Amino acid sequence: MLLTLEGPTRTQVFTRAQLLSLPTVRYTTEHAQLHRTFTYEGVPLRDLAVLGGFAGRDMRLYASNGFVTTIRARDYLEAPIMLAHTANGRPIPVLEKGPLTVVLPPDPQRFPARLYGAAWVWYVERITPAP
Amino acid sequence: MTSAPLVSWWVRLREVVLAALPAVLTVVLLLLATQPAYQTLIHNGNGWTPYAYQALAQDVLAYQVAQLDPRQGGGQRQMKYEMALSSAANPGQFTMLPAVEAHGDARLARIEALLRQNTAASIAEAAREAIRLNAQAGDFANETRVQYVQALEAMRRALIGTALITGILSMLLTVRVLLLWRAERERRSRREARQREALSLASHELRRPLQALLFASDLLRQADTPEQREHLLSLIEDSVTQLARRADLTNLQDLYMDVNLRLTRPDLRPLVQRAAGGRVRVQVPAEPVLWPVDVDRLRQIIENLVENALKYTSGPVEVALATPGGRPTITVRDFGPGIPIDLRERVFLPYERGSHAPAQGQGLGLPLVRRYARAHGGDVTLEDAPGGGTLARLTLGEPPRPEKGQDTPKGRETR
Repeated sequence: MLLTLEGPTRTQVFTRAQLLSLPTVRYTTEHAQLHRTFTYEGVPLRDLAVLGGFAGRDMRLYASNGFVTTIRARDYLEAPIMLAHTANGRPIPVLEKGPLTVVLPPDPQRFPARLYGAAWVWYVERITPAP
Repeated sequence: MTSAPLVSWWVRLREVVLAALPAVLTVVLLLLATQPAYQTLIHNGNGWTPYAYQALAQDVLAYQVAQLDPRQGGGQRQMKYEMALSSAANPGQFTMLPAVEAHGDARLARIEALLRQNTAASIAEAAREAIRLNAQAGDFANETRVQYVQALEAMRRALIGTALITGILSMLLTVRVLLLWRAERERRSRREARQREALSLASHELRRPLQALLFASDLLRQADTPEQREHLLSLIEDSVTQLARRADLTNLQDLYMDVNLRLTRPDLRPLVQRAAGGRVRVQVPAEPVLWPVDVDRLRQIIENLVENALKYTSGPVEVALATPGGRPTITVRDFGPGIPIDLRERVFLPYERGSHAPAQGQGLGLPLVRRYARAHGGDVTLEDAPGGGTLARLTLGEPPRPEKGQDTPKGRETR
């Protein structure tokens, strides 16, 4: 089991296989902290919010190393921000901030690194709506 | 003739620039004022936080704990190791790393090397090194915060200064506009006063020829001989000519204000002799007195002086032309009570009249006489006559000749 998705009414648990079966988005971009370019595949946060039953609310993401941040609904609804599970066709190793890591589309105007650095959440293990 | 549009263009440009000055100055000053704060922000990593260093220390410590914790499985332990290594081996995620490393001995590369050794001792040392690096980051963050605060304070001072400068500038511009407006108003009121004065003088000087005209035309009805009629007709002609010359309404400024003379060089004797008659006795030299004068203006001078003497006294009036020192002098002497000393200069100011002045009259005759006398390069003064009465003394000088090609005197207002 890789991900826990907590909604207002129920909590769902996803294995890698289950995540792979969800709608997938795919684009190539440079990772904000690794500064290396990958072709990422993953589930759009928008779809995860719908699945969790809190689409339109800000999303809170927890990492297994204790990190936590909030991504605004306006951002994940308008842009294909994804929870990536695959990089360059392979599962993402921990050394490359996997197995689940948030990836933002390559749009420096919309997502300048200095303001959105914290949105690239590594080691994601739990997602909840922000209260 | 191209200078006038150029000047007006320049004036217009100057006014536009002055009007835009506060706005331009505000923008420039604000750009300058915000520059240090902006530079500090950019220079210090633009939104930098020490979190990456803190997270590294936590990840290394978490791995150290996992090594010691028998409940954690091998997979979990390996994951913690890779998490720590993924950061330690990736300098790119540490913003301002050289600056942070400059704040102490701890080095990221050393943490990575210790992690890769992966022994209990090396991991413990890596944890200590990571904690030290984190402390250096905290120190750097503190220094950055001080710089931010200083930059903010500098910006605050600059903003207040800018507001002060532009405020004062706006105030000065407003004062300037007020002063310009007041100067324009004063200029207009002076112009109007001059026009009124010219009109009053014209009306004053028209009175005598008009009276002569009425008098002559009245006598003409009763004239018996052709000689009498001829004489009266010439009087009428003369009066009409004088009326025409004194009442050129398009030229009142030249006639009465900035006196513009039409000079000839006549014999002055007949001009003085005209005044003879009634109570007036005239005395002229035997030789001709030739002098450059404006005949009409000199006639008005003599008329006014004689009229004043007749109006203010009831005795005889003596007019004399002499040339002491080569300069023609015309004196008009009466046998009245005289003029107090304190009044002798004041009567040359417009609308000032003697204490026992008759009801009619505006006090314009003597001011005009002085203006004409000075235009002729001379002057007129009042003094006590020997044996009582007043002596008005007109001295003629060399009238300044108008410069070639210059129709109007300098300094004259044309609007």
